[in-house]
Amino acid sequence: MSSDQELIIQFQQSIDKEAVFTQLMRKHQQKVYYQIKRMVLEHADADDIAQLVWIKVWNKLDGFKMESEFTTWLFRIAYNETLNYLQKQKKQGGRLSKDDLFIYETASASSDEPKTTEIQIALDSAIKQLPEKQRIVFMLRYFDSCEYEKIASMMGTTVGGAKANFHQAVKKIERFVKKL
Amino acid sequence: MKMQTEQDLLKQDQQWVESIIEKDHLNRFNSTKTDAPINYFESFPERLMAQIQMEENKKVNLSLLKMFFLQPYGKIAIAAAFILIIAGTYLFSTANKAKTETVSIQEISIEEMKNYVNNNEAIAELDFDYIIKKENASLEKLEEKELKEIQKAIIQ
Repeated sequence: MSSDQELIIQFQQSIDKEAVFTQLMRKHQQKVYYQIKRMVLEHADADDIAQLVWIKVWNKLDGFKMESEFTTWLFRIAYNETLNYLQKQKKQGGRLSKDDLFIYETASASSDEPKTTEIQIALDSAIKQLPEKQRIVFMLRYFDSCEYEKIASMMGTTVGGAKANFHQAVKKIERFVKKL
Repeated sequence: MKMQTEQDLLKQDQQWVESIIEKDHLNRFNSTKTDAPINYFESFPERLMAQIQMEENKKVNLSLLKMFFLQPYGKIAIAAAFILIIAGTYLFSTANKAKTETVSIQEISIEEMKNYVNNNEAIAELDFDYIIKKENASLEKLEEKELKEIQKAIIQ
């Protein structure tokens, strides 16, 4: 498979744009989708946002100067689109969907620990309750093992700001879970 | 003092989180948030390209429209259409007015019509009197046109 740079150059030279773009999409679509879904938590929302992200990439790829890595630029767009989407939706967070509850209840049906479902629900609620930026930093840092520099670059903030967001997020989760 | 590497810092952060919540719970949370419907990723590029094609077509239509209206003949077309609309509105409203006047005349009673005719006869007679008095009652002084009119009135 061609590197991102090669594909972008082909795209910018209008060499079979659609095929090249599809190749680029297949390479990164899963990561983009998972990043978005961790922020919005619902598949339908993640799908909508993912489409917006890739349409924006299609429109702006001709002007991409490759000063940064393609993935950093791509995830930056994903982050901004998700933030815009969430702000429009004005979600307060905290409430679990019926699907989430069903998943947890089914998963822990055979568990010997009676508190497993409670902890999962508490964790889910705790993360949902976090402000968007803290939630994103927490997810990227813990689950994706992202470096602070990359997180800062994606979110348009400083390394210090990213670290502070992570710190705050963990403290809030701790307070929430300790209430159990 | 040993400088902490990025890897060390990452490990520290992850261990801190795991001290609050067990790794199993965290992994289970992550798995529920990172699953996607079956065949979602297989069909996504096709759906996306179809949408992009639609957006591109919209852009082309819009730019064609813009091109047309920015050209001289486009501007003339707009002006002509504008004039036609105004002219059409004017003609339509005038036609309606005329129709109304015709209808209102038809609604005039016979008495009113008689009065009108009589009044007009009187006015016509006054005209002849005026002419005769003006010319000092001399038939010779009257013009041929005026004589003919007097003749007509007498015959009638």
